[in-house]
Amino acid sequence: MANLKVVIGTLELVNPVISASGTFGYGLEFVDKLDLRRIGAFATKGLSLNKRDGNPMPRICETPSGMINSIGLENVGIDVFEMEKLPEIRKTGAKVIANFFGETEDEYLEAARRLDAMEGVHALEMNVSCPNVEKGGIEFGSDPAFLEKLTSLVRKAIRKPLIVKLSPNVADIRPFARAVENGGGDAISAINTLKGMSVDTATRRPRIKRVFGGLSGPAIRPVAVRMVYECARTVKIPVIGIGGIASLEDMLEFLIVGAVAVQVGTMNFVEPGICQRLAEELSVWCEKERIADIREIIGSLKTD
Amino acid sequence: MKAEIISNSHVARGYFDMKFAAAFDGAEPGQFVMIRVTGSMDPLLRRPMSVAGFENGICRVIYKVVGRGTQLLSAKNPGDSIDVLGPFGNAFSPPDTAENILLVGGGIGIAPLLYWHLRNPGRKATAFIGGAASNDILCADEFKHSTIATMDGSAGVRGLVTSPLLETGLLREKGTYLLACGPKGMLKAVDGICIQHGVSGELSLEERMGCGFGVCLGCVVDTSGGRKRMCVDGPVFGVGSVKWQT
Repeated sequence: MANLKVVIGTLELVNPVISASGTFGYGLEFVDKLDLRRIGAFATKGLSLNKRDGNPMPRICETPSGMINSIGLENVGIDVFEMEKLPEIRKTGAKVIANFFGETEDEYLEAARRLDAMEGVHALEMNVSCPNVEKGGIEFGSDPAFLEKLTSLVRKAIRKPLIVKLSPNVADIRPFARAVENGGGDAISAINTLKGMSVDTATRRPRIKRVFGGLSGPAIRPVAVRMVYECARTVKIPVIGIGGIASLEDMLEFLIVGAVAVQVGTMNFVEPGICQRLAEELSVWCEKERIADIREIIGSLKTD
Repeated sequence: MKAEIISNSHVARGYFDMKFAAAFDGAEPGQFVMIRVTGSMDPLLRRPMSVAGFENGICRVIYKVVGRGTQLLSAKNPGDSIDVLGPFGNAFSPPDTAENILLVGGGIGIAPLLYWHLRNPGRKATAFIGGAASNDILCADEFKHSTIATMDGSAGVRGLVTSPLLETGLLREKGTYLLACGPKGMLKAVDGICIQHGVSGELSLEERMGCGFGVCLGCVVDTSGGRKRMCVDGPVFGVGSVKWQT
Protein backbone atom coordinates (compact mmCIF):
# COMPACT_ATOMS: atom_id res chain seq x y z
CA MET A 1 0.00 0.00 0.00
CA ALA A 2 1.31 3.40 -0.98
CA ASN A 3 1.62 5.99 1.74
CA LEU A 4 -1.05 8.60 1.03
CA LYS A 5 -0.63 10.54 4.27
CA VAL A 6 -0.08 14.26 3.99
CA VAL A 7 0.53 16.92 6.62
CA ILE A 8 -0.79 20.47 6.69
CA GLY A 9 0.72 22.33 9.61
CA THR A 10 0.00 19.95 12.46
CA LEU A 11 -3.00 18.49 10.67
CA GLU A 12 -2.37 14.93 9.56
CA LEU A 13 -4.58 13.50 6.83
CA VAL A 14 -4.90 9.81 5.91
CA ASN A 15 -5.07 10.86 2.27
CA PRO A 16 -5.06 14.16 0.36
CA VAL A 17 -8.78 14.17 -0.52
CA ILE A 18 -10.83 16.79 1.33
CA SER A 19 -14.42 17.75 0.61
CA ALA A 20 -14.81 21.47 0.07
CA SER A 21 -16.72 23.95 2.17
CA GLY A 22 -20.23 24.72 1.00
CA THR A 23 -20.63 21.41 -0.78
CA PHE A 24 -20.60 19.05 2.19
CA GLY A 25 -23.02 20.62 4.67
CA TYR A 26 -21.82 19.84 8.19
CA GLY A 27 -20.64 16.38 7.16
CA LEU A 28 -23.65 14.71 8.80
CA GLU A 29 -25.60 14.82 5.54
CA PHE A 30 -23.01 12.40 4.14
CA VAL A 31 -22.76 9.73 6.85
CA ASP A 32 -24.95 7.35 4.83
CA LYS A 33 -23.14 8.19 1.59
CA LEU A 34 -19.50 7.51 2.42
CA ASP A 35 -17.17 6.62 5.27
CA LEU A 36 -15.88 9.94 6.62
CA ARG A 37 -12.79 8.24 8.05
CA ARG A 38 -11.75 7.16 4.57
CA ILE A 39 -11.29 10.70 3.29
CA GLY A 40 -8.59 13.13 4.38
CA ALA A 41 -10.97 15.61 5.98
CA PHE A 42 -14.07 17.60 5.27
CA ALA A 43 -14.53 21.37 5.39
CA THR A 44 -17.76 22.58 6.98
CA LYS A 45 -20.18 25.06 5.48
CA GLY A 46 -18.75 28.53 6.18
CA LEU A 47 -19.57 29.45 9.78
CA SER A 48 -20.23 32.90 11.24
CA LEU A 49 -20.87 34.04 14.81
CA ASN A 50 -24.55 34.52 14.06
CA LYS A 51 -26.88 32.37 11.98
CA ARG A 52 -27.43 33.70 8.44
CA ASP A 53 -30.33 33.12 6.05
CA GLY A 54 -28.35 34.02 2.95
CA ASN A 55 -29.53 35.58 -0.30
CA PRO A 56 -32.96 35.55 -1.98
CA MET A 57 -33.89 32.89 -4.56
CA PRO A 58 -32.99 31.95 -7.24
CA ARG A 59 -29.47 31.42 -6.02
CA ILE A 60 -28.11 28.60 -8.17
CA CYS A 61 -28.09 27.96 -11.89
CA GLU A 62 -26.36 25.49 -14.13
CA THR A 63 -23.82 26.58 -16.75
CA PRO A 64 -21.71 24.52 -19.19
CA SER A 65 -19.84 21.94 -17.07
CA GLY A 66 -20.44 24.06 -14.00
CA MET A 67 -22.82 26.04 -11.89
CA ILE A 68 -23.15 29.53 -10.46
CA ASN A 69 -24.20 30.03 -6.87
CA SER A 70 -25.01 33.00 -4.74
CA ILE A 71 -26.12 31.33 -1.53
CA GLY A 72 -24.93 34.29 0.52
CA LEU A 73 -23.08 32.40 3.26
CA GLU A 74 -26.21 30.88 4.79
CA ASN A 75 -25.23 28.86 7.85
CA VAL A 76 -26.56 27.74 11.23
CA GLY A 77 -24.16 29.94 13.20
CA ILE A 78 -21.33 28.89 15.50
CA ASP A 79 -23.56 28.22 18.55
CA VAL A 80 -25.79 25.73 16.77
CA PHE A 81 -22.74 24.19 15.12
CA GLU A 82 -21.16 23.62 18.53
CA MET A 83 -24.28 22.43 20.34
CA GLU A 84 -26.09 20.42 17.65
CA LYS A 85 -23.72 19.49 14.85
CA LEU A 86 -20.30 18.96 16.39
CA PRO A 87 -21.31 16.31 18.99
CA GLU A 88 -22.72 14.22 16.13
CA ILE A 89 -19.73 14.92 13.88
CA ARG A 90 -17.33 13.76 16.61
CA LYS A 91 -19.01 10.33 16.61
CA THR A 92 -18.12 9.83 12.94
CA GLY A 93 -14.36 9.98 13.50
CA ALA A 94 -14.00 12.53 10.69
CA LYS A 95 -11.19 15.06 10.46
CA VAL A 96 -12.94 18.41 10.54
CA ILE A 97 -11.80 21.67 8.98
CA ALA A 98 -14.07 24.46 10.21
CA ASN A 99 -14.53 27.07 7.51
CA PHE A 100 -15.37 30.52 8.92
CA PHE A 101 -15.82 34.16 8.02
CA GLY A 102 -16.85 37.48 9.51
CA GLU A 103 -17.95 40.92 8.41
CA THR A 104 -15.44 42.73 10.62
CA GLU A 105 -11.96 41.96 11.89
CA ASP A 106 -13.37 41.38 15.36
CA GLU A 107 -15.93 38.92 14.04
CA TYR A 108 -13.18 36.95 12.30
CA LEU A 109 -11.16 36.87 15.50
CA GLU A 110 -14.06 35.90 17.71
CA ALA A 111 -15.22 33.15 15.33
CA ALA A 112 -11.67 31.80 15.08
CA ARG A 113 -11.22 31.75 18.87
CA ARG A 114 -14.53 29.95 19.37
CA LEU A 115 -13.74 27.27 16.78
CA ASP A 116 -10.18 26.89 18.06
CA ALA A 117 -11.55 25.96 21.47
CA MET A 118 -13.88 23.24 20.18
CA GLU A 119 -12.95 19.61 20.58
CA GLY A 120 -13.48 17.85 17.27
CA VAL A 121 -12.40 20.78 15.11
CA HIS A 122 -8.95 19.90 13.78
CA ALA A 123 -8.12 22.93 11.67
CA LEU A 124 -9.61 26.25 10.61
CA GLU A 125 -10.11 27.49 7.07
CA MET A 126 -10.60 31.23 6.76
CA ASN A 127 -12.84 32.45 3.93
CA VAL A 128 -11.63 35.92 2.96
CA SER A 129 -14.04 36.39 0.04
CA CYS A 130 -16.45 38.19 2.30
CA PRO A 131 -17.31 41.91 2.17
CA ASN A 132 -15.79 44.04 4.95
CA VAL A 133 -18.68 46.14 6.28
CA GLU A 134 -16.22 48.52 7.94
CA LYS A 135 -14.43 49.21 4.67
CA GLY A 136 -17.31 49.91 2.32
CA GLY A 137 -17.91 46.27 1.42
CA ILE A 138 -14.49 45.62 -0.15
CA GLU A 139 -13.56 41.95 0.28
CA PHE A 140 -11.08 41.11 3.04
CA GLY A 141 -9.07 39.06 0.59
CA SER A 142 -8.78 41.72 -2.09
CA ASP A 143 -5.86 43.69 -0.59
CA PRO A 144 -2.62 41.84 0.20
CA ALA A 145 -1.64 44.18 3.04
CA PHE A 146 -4.97 43.77 4.72
CA LEU A 147 -4.97 40.01 4.13
CA GLU A 148 -1.57 39.72 5.78
CA LYS A 149 -2.76 41.70 8.80
CA LEU A 150 -5.94 39.62 9.18
CA THR A 151 -4.00 36.37 8.81
CA SER A 152 -1.49 37.50 11.40
CA LEU A 153 -4.17 38.57 13.89
CA VAL A 154 -6.08 35.31 13.58
CA ARG A 155 -2.92 33.21 13.62
CA LYS A 156 -1.87 34.76 16.94
CA ALA A 157 -5.30 34.18 18.43
CA ILE A 158 -5.51 30.42 17.83
CA ARG A 159 -3.50 27.24 18.25
CA LYS A 160 -4.91 25.00 15.52
CA PRO A 161 -3.64 25.05 11.92
CA LEU A 162 -4.93 28.03 9.94
CA ILE A 163 -5.69 27.57 6.25
CA VAL A 164 -6.55 30.71 4.27
CA LYS A 165 -8.82 30.19 1.25
CA LEU A 166 -7.93 32.56 -1.57
CA SER A 167 -10.22 34.23 -4.05
CA PRO A 168 -9.31 33.90 -7.74
CA ASN A 169 -11.00 37.20 -8.54
CA VAL A 170 -7.74 39.18 -8.56
CA ALA A 171 -5.33 40.11 -11.36
CA ASP A 172 -2.42 38.23 -9.78
CA ILE A 173 -2.89 35.71 -6.99
CA ARG A 174 0.80 35.53 -5.98
CA PRO A 175 0.90 38.62 -3.73
CA PHE A 176 -2.04 37.13 -1.83
CA ALA A 177 -0.30 33.81 -1.37
CA ARG A 178 2.75 35.71 -0.08
CA ALA A 179 0.54 37.73 2.26
CA VAL A 180 -0.80 34.56 3.87
CA GLU A 181 2.70 33.16 4.28
CA ASN A 182 4.05 36.41 5.73
CA GLY A 183 1.07 36.62 8.07
CA GLY A 184 1.95 33.22 9.49
CA GLY A 185 -0.79 31.19 7.83
CA ASP A 186 -0.13 27.44 7.89
CA ALA A 187 -1.55 26.73 4.44
CA ILE A 188 -3.37 28.19 1.46
CA SER A 189 -6.40 26.70 -0.18
CA ALA A 190 -7.19 27.88 -3.71
CA ILE A 191 -9.33 28.62 -5.50
CA ASN A 192 -12.68 29.86 -4.28
CA THR A 193 -15.34 30.37 -6.97
CA LEU A 194 -14.84 32.66 -9.98
CA LYS A 195 -17.24 35.55 -10.21
CA GLY A 196 -19.71 34.84 -13.01
CA MET A 197 -23.05 35.75 -14.52
CA SER A 198 -25.69 34.03 -16.63
CA VAL A 199 -28.78 35.47 -18.31
CA ASP A 200 -32.10 33.83 -19.18
CA THR A 201 -32.58 35.16 -22.70
CA ALA A 202 -36.32 34.44 -22.72
CA THR A 203 -37.01 36.65 -19.69
CA ARG A 204 -33.85 38.83 -20.06
CA ARG A 205 -33.28 38.43 -16.36
CA PRO A 206 -30.12 37.27 -14.62
CA ARG A 207 -30.51 33.61 -13.68
CA ILE A 208 -29.28 34.47 -10.17
CA LYS A 209 -31.33 36.95 -8.15
CA ARG A 210 -28.21 38.80 -6.97
CA VAL A 211 -27.05 39.04 -10.62
CA PHE A 212 -23.49 37.77 -9.97
CA GLY A 213 -22.54 34.49 -8.38
CA GLY A 214 -19.58 32.16 -7.95
CA LEU A 215 -18.80 29.80 -10.83
CA SER A 216 -17.64 26.32 -9.82
CA GLY A 217 -17.37 22.87 -11.33
CA PRO A 218 -15.17 21.30 -14.03
CA ALA A 219 -15.50 24.47 -16.14
CA ILE A 220 -13.06 26.33 -13.85
CA ARG A 221 -10.42 23.63 -13.51
CA PRO A 222 -7.78 24.94 -15.94
CA VAL A 223 -7.92 28.36 -14.25
CA ALA A 224 -7.62 26.71 -10.85
CA VAL A 225 -4.69 24.52 -11.87
CA ARG A 226 -2.83 27.59 -13.17
CA MET A 227 -3.44 29.54 -9.96
CA VAL A 228 -2.48 26.63 -7.71
CA TYR A 229 0.72 26.26 -9.72
CA GLU A 230 1.45 29.98 -9.24
CA CYS A 231 0.78 29.76 -5.49
CA ALA A 232 2.88 26.63 -5.03
CA ARG A 233 5.84 28.26 -6.78
CA THR A 234 5.49 31.42 -4.72
CA VAL A 235 5.25 30.12 -1.14
CA LYS A 236 6.77 27.38 0.98
CA ILE A 237 3.65 26.67 3.04
CA PRO A 238 1.38 23.89 1.74
CA VAL A 239 -1.18 24.69 -0.94
CA ILE A 240 -4.49 22.83 -1.13
CA GLY A 241 -5.81 22.73 -4.70
CA ILE A 242 -9.49 23.29 -5.40
CA GLY A 243 -11.43 23.72 -8.63
CA GLY A 244 -13.63 21.38 -10.61
CA ILE A 245 -12.13 18.06 -9.56
CA ALA A 246 -14.27 15.21 -10.88
CA SER A 247 -11.80 12.38 -11.48
CA LEU A 248 -8.50 10.82 -10.43
CA GLU A 249 -6.84 12.49 -13.40
CA ASP A 250 -8.11 15.91 -12.30
CA MET A 251 -6.79 15.37 -8.78
CA LEU A 252 -3.37 14.30 -10.10
CA GLU A 253 -3.13 17.52 -12.12
CA PHE A 254 -3.33 19.58 -8.93
CA LEU A 255 -0.87 17.37 -7.05
CA ILE A 256 1.64 17.47 -9.91
CA VAL A 257 1.61 21.28 -10.03
CA GLY A 258 2.36 21.37 -6.33
CA ALA A 259 -0.81 20.96 -4.29
CA VAL A 260 -0.21 18.93 -1.12
CA ALA A 261 -3.88 18.03 -0.93
CA VAL A 262 -7.05 18.74 -2.90
CA GLN A 263 -10.61 19.69 -2.17
CA VAL A 264 -13.55 18.34 -4.14
CA GLY A 265 -16.54 20.67 -4.27
CA THR A 266 -19.38 20.81 -6.77
CA MET A 267 -19.10 17.13 -7.69
CA ASN A 268 -20.26 16.20 -4.17
CA PHE A 269 -23.71 17.34 -5.31
CA VAL A 270 -23.68 15.06 -8.32
CA GLU A 271 -21.93 12.05 -6.79
CA PRO A 272 -22.08 12.22 -2.98
CA GLY A 273 -19.55 9.40 -2.55
CA ILE A 274 -16.95 10.90 -4.87
CA CYS A 275 -14.34 11.85 -2.25
CA GLN A 276 -14.04 8.29 -0.99
CA ARG A 277 -14.00 6.94 -4.55
CA LEU A 278 -11.17 9.30 -5.52
CA ALA A 279 -9.16 8.41 -2.42
CA GLU A 280 -9.51 4.71 -3.27
CA GLU A 281 -8.65 5.28 -6.92
CA LEU A 282 -5.56 7.25 -5.91
CA SER A 283 -4.39 4.36 -3.79
CA VAL A 284 -4.91 1.86 -6.63
CA TRP A 285 -3.19 4.18 -9.10
CA CYS A 286 -0.10 4.60 -6.87
CA GLU A 287 0.10 0.85 -6.52
CA LYS A 288 -0.08 0.39 -10.29
CA GLU A 289 2.49 3.13 -10.93
CA ARG A 290 4.74 1.75 -8.19
CA ILE A 291 4.63 4.96 -6.25
CA ALA A 292 5.45 4.28 -2.62
CA ASP A 293 4.62 7.72 -1.28
CA ILE A 294 2.21 10.34 -2.56
CA ARG A 295 4.90 12.95 -1.96
CA GLU A 296 6.69 11.60 -5.04
CA ILE A 297 3.87 13.08 -7.12
CA ILE A 298 3.45 16.42 -5.36
CA GLY A 299 5.18 19.20 -7.30
CA SER A 300 6.61 16.76 -9.85
CA LEU A 301 5.70 18.91 -12.85
CA LYS A 302 8.21 18.84 -15.71
CA THR A 303 8.51 22.04 -17.69
CA ASP A 304 11.68 21.44 -19.67
CA MET B 1 -26.97 4.21 -8.50
CA LYS B 2 -27.33 2.80 -11.98
CA ALA B 3 -30.85 2.08 -13.15
CA GLU B 4 -32.06 0.41 -16.30
CA ILE B 5 -34.79 2.11 -18.27
CA ILE B 6 -37.83 -0.14 -18.78
CA SER B 7 -39.83 2.27 -20.91
CA ASN B 8 -39.58 5.90 -21.99
CA SER B 9 -42.74 6.87 -23.85
CA HIS B 10 -43.63 10.10 -25.57
CA VAL B 11 -47.11 10.68 -24.08
CA ALA B 12 -47.89 14.21 -25.26
CA ARG B 13 -46.09 16.95 -27.18
CA GLY B 14 -43.04 17.68 -25.02
CA TYR B 15 -43.79 15.10 -22.30
CA PHE B 16 -42.41 11.66 -21.51
CA ASP B 17 -43.51 8.91 -19.14
CA MET B 18 -40.53 6.84 -18.02
CA LYS B 19 -40.17 3.67 -15.96
CA PHE B 20 -36.88 2.35 -14.61
CA ALA B 21 -35.72 -0.52 -12.40
CA ALA B 22 -35.07 1.14 -9.05
CA ALA B 23 -32.16 0.31 -6.76
CA PHE B 24 -34.28 1.48 -3.78
CA ASP B 25 -37.11 -0.33 -2.01
CA GLY B 26 -39.90 2.15 -2.49
CA ALA B 27 -40.96 5.78 -2.53
CA GLU B 28 -43.87 7.67 -1.02
CA PRO B 29 -46.14 9.98 -3.03
CA GLY B 30 -44.59 13.44 -2.85
CA GLN B 31 -41.00 12.22 -2.81
CA PHE B 32 -38.64 12.79 -5.72
CA VAL B 33 -35.53 11.28 -7.29
CA MET B 34 -32.43 12.98 -8.71
CA ILE B 35 -31.59 11.73 -12.19
CA ARG B 36 -28.22 11.99 -13.90
CA VAL B 37 -28.72 11.49 -17.59
CA THR B 38 -25.12 11.02 -18.76
CA GLY B 39 -21.76 10.45 -17.14
CA SER B 40 -20.33 13.52 -18.87
CA MET B 41 -19.82 16.91 -17.23
CA ASP B 42 -22.37 18.75 -19.36
CA PRO B 43 -25.11 18.76 -18.27
CA LEU B 44 -23.52 18.58 -14.83
CA LEU B 45 -26.22 18.50 -12.20
CA ARG B 46 -28.90 15.91 -11.64
CA ARG B 47 -32.51 16.69 -12.47
CA PRO B 48 -35.13 16.42 -9.71
CA MET B 49 -38.24 14.46 -10.74
CA SER B 50 -41.32 13.61 -8.75
CA VAL B 51 -42.09 9.95 -8.33
CA ALA B 52 -45.27 9.23 -10.32
CA GLY B 53 -45.51 5.59 -9.37
CA PHE B 54 -43.68 2.71 -7.74
CA GLU B 55 -44.60 -0.94 -8.11
CA ASN B 56 -42.57 -4.17 -7.90
CA GLY B 57 -39.28 -2.31 -7.86
CA ILE B 58 -40.17 -0.22 -10.87
CA CYS B 59 -40.24 3.51 -10.45
CA ARG B 60 -42.18 5.83 -12.74
CA VAL B 61 -41.51 9.50 -13.47
CA ILE B 62 -43.19 11.90 -15.88
CA TYR B 63 -41.09 14.71 -17.28
CA LYS B 64 -41.28 17.66 -19.59
CA VAL B 65 -38.48 18.34 -22.06
CA VAL B 66 -37.28 21.78 -21.05
CA GLY B 67 -33.53 21.83 -21.61
CA ARG B 68 -30.55 19.78 -22.68
CA GLY B 69 -30.74 17.37 -19.74
CA THR B 70 -34.32 16.32 -20.37
CA GLN B 71 -33.70 16.34 -24.13
CA LEU B 72 -30.91 13.79 -23.71
CA LEU B 73 -33.13 11.78 -21.37
CA SER B 74 -35.95 11.72 -23.92
CA ALA B 75 -33.61 10.11 -26.47
CA LYS B 76 -32.91 7.16 -24.15
CA ASN B 77 -34.33 3.75 -25.03
CA PRO B 78 -35.47 0.79 -22.95
CA GLY B 79 -32.36 -1.08 -21.83
CA ASP B 80 -30.28 2.12 -21.62
CA SER B 81 -29.16 3.14 -18.17
CA ILE B 82 -29.39 6.32 -16.14
CA ASP B 83 -28.05 7.15 -12.69
CA VAL B 84 -30.62 7.73 -9.96
CA LEU B 85 -30.30 8.95 -6.36
CA GLY B 86 -33.15 8.98 -3.90
CA PRO B 87 -35.91 8.90 -3.06
CA PHE B 88 -35.60 12.25 -1.28
CA GLY B 89 -37.94 14.60 0.53
CA ASN B 90 -41.12 14.22 2.55
CA ALA B 91 -44.47 12.85 1.41
CA PHE B 92 -48.11 13.86 1.23
CA SER B 93 -49.80 12.87 4.45
CA PRO B 94 -53.49 13.74 4.47
CA PRO B 95 -55.11 12.74 7.79
CA ASP B 96 -57.36 9.68 7.83
CA THR B 97 -60.24 11.95 8.81
CA ALA B 98 -60.05 13.73 5.43
CA GLU B 99 -63.04 12.26 3.60
CA ASN B 100 -62.88 14.29 0.50
CA ILE B 101 -59.53 14.87 -1.19
CA LEU B 102 -59.08 17.52 -3.86
CA LEU B 103 -56.03 16.99 -6.09
CA VAL B 104 -54.94 20.12 -7.92
CA GLY B 105 -52.15 19.72 -10.46
CA GLY B 106 -50.60 22.08 -12.96
CA GLY B 107 -48.67 20.62 -15.90
CA ILE B 108 -46.02 18.18 -14.76
CA GLY B 109 -47.18 18.77 -11.17
CA ILE B 110 -49.76 16.08 -11.72
CA ALA B 111 -47.12 13.36 -11.20
CA PRO B 112 -47.05 13.09 -7.37
CA LEU B 113 -50.83 13.54 -7.17
CA LEU B 114 -51.33 10.66 -9.60
CA TYR B 115 -49.07 8.48 -7.47
CA TRP B 116 -50.99 9.39 -4.32
CA HIS B 117 -54.27 8.59 -6.10
CA LEU B 118 -53.06 5.21 -7.36
CA ARG B 119 -51.71 4.32 -3.92
CA ASN B 120 -54.99 5.23 -2.20
CA PRO B 121 -57.68 3.74 -4.45
CA GLY B 122 -60.18 3.55 -1.61
CA ARG B 123 -60.14 7.25 -0.84
CA LYS B 124 -62.56 9.65 -2.46
CA ALA B 125 -60.60 12.05 -4.64
CA THR B 126 -61.40 14.61 -7.30
CA ALA B 127 -58.68 15.92 -9.58
CA PHE B 128 -58.42 19.39 -11.08
CA ILE B 129 -55.83 19.35 -13.83
CA GLY B 130 -54.57 22.50 -15.45
CA GLY B 131 -52.17 23.37 -18.23
CA ALA B 132 -51.43 25.89 -20.97
CA ALA B 133 -52.91 23.68 -23.74
CA SER B 134 -54.30 20.17 -24.25
CA ASN B 135 -50.82 18.62 -24.53
CA ASP B 136 -50.00 19.88 -21.04
CA ILE B 137 -52.84 17.80 -19.55
CA LEU B 138 -51.30 14.53 -18.50
CA CYS B 139 -52.71 11.25 -17.22
CA ALA B 140 -56.23 12.62 -16.83
CA ASP B 141 -57.67 9.20 -17.69
CA GLU B 142 -55.89 7.64 -14.71
CA PHE B 143 -58.04 9.62 -12.26
CA LYS B 144 -61.55 8.44 -11.38
CA HIS B 145 -62.96 11.97 -11.27
CA SER B 146 -61.22 14.84 -12.98
CA THR B 147 -61.90 18.31 -14.30
CA ILE B 148 -59.59 19.83 -16.89
CA ALA B 149 -58.78 23.49 -17.52
CA THR B 150 -56.50 24.90 -20.21
CA MET B 151 -55.48 28.47 -20.85
CA ASP B 152 -56.25 28.24 -24.58
CA GLY B 153 -59.40 26.19 -24.15
CA SER B 154 -58.05 23.31 -26.26
CA ALA B 155 -59.14 20.86 -23.55
CA GLY B 156 -61.71 21.16 -20.76
CA VAL B 157 -62.78 24.59 -19.63
CA ARG B 158 -60.87 27.68 -20.72
CA GLY B 159 -58.85 29.44 -18.06
CA LEU B 160 -56.90 28.71 -14.90
CA VAL B 161 -57.37 25.49 -12.97
CA THR B 162 -58.47 27.57 -10.01
CA SER B 163 -61.71 28.57 -11.80
CA PRO B 164 -63.34 25.10 -11.80
CA LEU B 165 -61.90 24.54 -8.31
CA LEU B 166 -63.68 27.66 -7.04
CA GLU B 167 -66.92 26.75 -8.79
CA THR B 168 -67.17 23.34 -7.19
CA GLY B 169 -69.10 23.05 -3.97
CA LEU B 170 -66.46 20.66 -2.66
CA LEU B 171 -64.46 23.44 -1.01
CA ARG B 172 -67.38 24.07 1.34
CA GLU B 173 -67.92 20.43 2.29
CA LYS B 174 -66.87 19.10 5.65
CA GLY B 175 -63.80 16.87 5.64
CA THR B 176 -62.33 18.40 2.49
CA TYR B 177 -58.54 18.32 2.23
CA LEU B 178 -56.45 19.53 -0.69
CA LEU B 179 -53.19 18.31 -2.21
CA ALA B 180 -51.56 20.40 -4.92
CA CYS B 181 -48.43 20.46 -7.06
CA GLY B 182 -47.57 22.77 -9.91
CA PRO B 183 -45.96 26.09 -10.78
CA LYS B 184 -45.48 28.69 -8.07
CA GLY B 185 -48.24 30.99 -9.37
CA MET B 186 -50.79 28.19 -9.22
CA LEU B 187 -49.72 27.05 -5.76
CA LYS B 188 -49.87 30.59 -4.42
CA ALA B 189 -53.42 30.98 -5.77
CA VAL B 190 -54.49 27.57 -4.42
CA ASP B 191 -52.95 28.42 -1.05
CA GLY B 192 -55.02 31.61 -0.94
CA ILE B 193 -58.20 29.76 -1.89
CA CYS B 194 -57.67 27.18 0.86
CA ILE B 195 -57.08 29.84 3.48
CA GLN B 196 -60.15 31.76 2.32
CA HIS B 197 -62.35 28.65 2.55
CA GLY B 198 -60.81 27.31 5.73
CA VAL B 199 -59.63 24.17 3.92
CA SER B 200 -56.50 22.38 5.10
CA GLY B 201 -54.07 20.82 2.72
CA GLU B 202 -50.56 20.36 1.44
CA LEU B 203 -48.61 21.94 -1.39
CA SER B 204 -45.68 20.30 -3.17
CA LEU B 205 -43.21 22.91 -4.40
CA GLU B 206 -41.09 22.65 -7.54
CA GLU B 207 -37.61 24.18 -7.75
CA ARG B 208 -34.24 23.79 -9.41
CA MET B 209 -32.03 21.75 -7.14
CA GLY B 210 -28.28 21.34 -7.02
CA CYS B 211 -28.06 18.21 -4.89
CA GLY B 212 -31.46 17.05 -3.59
CA PHE B 213 -30.19 16.09 -0.13
CA GLY B 214 -29.83 19.35 1.71
CA VAL B 215 -26.28 20.58 1.24
CA CYS B 216 -26.17 22.99 -1.70
CA LEU B 217 -28.81 25.31 -0.17
CA GLY B 218 -30.02 26.17 -3.66
CA CYS B 219 -33.71 25.44 -3.07
CA VAL B 220 -34.70 27.29 0.07
CA VAL B 221 -38.15 28.69 0.79
CA ASP B 222 -39.34 31.02 3.52
CA THR B 223 -42.07 29.56 5.68
CA SER B 224 -43.88 30.44 8.89
CA GLY B 225 -41.37 28.10 10.56
CA GLY B 226 -38.36 29.96 9.11
CA ARG B 227 -36.19 29.33 6.08
CA LYS B 228 -36.48 25.72 4.89
CA ARG B 229 -34.77 23.56 2.30
CA MET B 230 -37.35 22.27 -0.17
CA CYS B 231 -35.41 19.08 -0.81
CA VAL B 232 -35.18 17.78 2.75
CA ASP B 233 -37.76 19.81 4.74
CA GLY B 234 -40.20 19.60 1.78
CA PRO B 235 -41.05 19.49 -1.06
CA VAL B 236 -44.46 19.16 0.65
CA PHE B 237 -45.48 22.07 2.92
CA GLY B 238 -48.75 22.70 4.72
CA VAL B 239 -51.32 25.14 3.35
CA GLY B 240 -50.74 28.56 4.90
CA SER B 241 -47.10 27.98 5.79
CA VAL B 242 -45.26 29.25 2.69
CA LYS B 243 -44.32 32.94 2.59
CA TRP B 244 -44.77 33.66 -1.11
CA GLN B 245 -42.29 36.07 -2.67
CA THR B 246 -43.96 38.82 -4.62
